[in-house]
Order: sequence, then C-alpha cells, then structure tokens
Amino acid sequence: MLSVREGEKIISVYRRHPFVLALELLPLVVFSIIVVAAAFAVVFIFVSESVDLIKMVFFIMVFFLHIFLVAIFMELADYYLDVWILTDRRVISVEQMSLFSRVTYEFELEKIQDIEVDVRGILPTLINYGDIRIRTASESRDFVFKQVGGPTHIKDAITQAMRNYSAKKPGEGENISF
Amino acid sequence: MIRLVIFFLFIVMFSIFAVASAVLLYHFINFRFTKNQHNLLIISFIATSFILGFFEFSLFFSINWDAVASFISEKIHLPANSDIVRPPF
Repeated sequence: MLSVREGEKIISVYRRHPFVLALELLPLVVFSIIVVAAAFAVVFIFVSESVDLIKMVFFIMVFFLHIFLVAIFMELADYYLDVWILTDRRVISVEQMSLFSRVTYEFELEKIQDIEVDVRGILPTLINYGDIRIRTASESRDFVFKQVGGPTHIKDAITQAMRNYSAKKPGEGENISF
Repeated sequence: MIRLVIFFLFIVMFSIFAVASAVLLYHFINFRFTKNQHNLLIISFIATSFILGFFEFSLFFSINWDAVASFISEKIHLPANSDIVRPPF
C-alpha cells in the first residue's frame, strides 16, 4: 500500500473514466449472456431426451461463467490499481501494467514544467475523458495518465497545487533575517 | 473410467481457477490504495466464486456420465462397417 510523507496531504485521487472500464467489461458480459442463452437453447431442444445431458449443459455453462467471473475481476483489479494521487507536494502515478507488473512514479510539483491535455475522438469529447501528459525537469520521460475523466479539471487542480506549493516554500533570493 | 477422466480434467481446471483467483485477490488486497478500500467488491468476488464452485461440484457429481456418453454416441450414429474406431463406452 502507498503511504504519504509526514505532513503531506492528499488533495485528490484520480482513476480512468468508468466508461473505459465499461467498454473493457462489455465483451465479457456479452459472452456470458451468449453462453447462458446457448445453454438454455440446448436445454429447450433436448428437454425431453436426457436429464443428465441437461445437467451437463448447465455444468458447462457454470464452468464458463466462472471463467468470465475471474476475467471480470482481473479487469476490475486493473482499473482500481491504476491511480494518480495528487498531494500538496507531489504527484504519485501508479500503473498496473499486468497482474505481476506494476510501475510507480512520483515527481515533485516544483519539477513540473508543462501539462498537456489530449482529448481526441467523438466519445472522449462527449463523455469528457482523455490523456494528461506531464513534462518534468527530468529528461528521462513524460508522465502520461491515459483515459482519465475530466482531464481539464485535473490539469487545473495540479496547476493550483503547484501555485500553493510555490507560495508555501521560501522563494530564491528571499531575505531571511534572524 | 470416463467419469474419472472428466473428473481429473475438471479438478485440474478448477485448481487453476482457484490459484488464479487467490493470486488475483492477494494482489488486489495488497496493492489497493487504502487498507479497507473495495471490501464489498472483494467479498462479492469471493462469495460468487464459492457459489459457482459449489454448483460446479454439485452438478458434476449428480451427472450420470455413462448415460451422457451413451446418449451422445447414439446421436452420432456411427455406421457398423465404418473404419472409425468406436469409443469404448
């Protein structure tokens, strides 16, 4: 589990838009419905022929539903474990690449140079989700949070957090008297 | 004999699902953001898995697999002088 530093406050926690999760779960739900419908169709056809055959059809149906349940939970776990955390000092990015692959980045708010919001397509525009790309002072890479809901609002929240962080810290060249 | 074979296959597949579910649960519980988050989701998954597993085992042991095999072989209607070897049930 993630932990914050002493005195650090969490401002917001962001995840991908729920519509993206729904799109990923839709094929699994459709296949589940097809399996159940096919099972009932076979049972309807052979209803007067063999009780054991009907039981076998239901056994296969329950078996496939079990497979889909595990697959659905994997998608849910992947959705909930991808998270961006905005604190009053830094941004923490946790990305679950696969079940056994997880990447965590964090960068201080003062290191942020550019924030880019990318909303492309009809659905993302209508439903309001897109990518946020943050460029930092580090030359290694940009940080991208994909398919997040309300990206413009998040960009504004990060910008505000950066201003608050700069206002709290003593600036360069400030005279400190004892 | 056929019942044993099918039971062995079923147990192997069920074990794979059980291990995959346990690993998935451990991963989710260990890496969720706060300690008590998503408890309802986790409990729902565990409960549904147990219910489906119960139904799988109940249905499996209630099926007369020899009768099913006979029914299927009757429906296939292999000709008597066919070169295809009939299954031993």
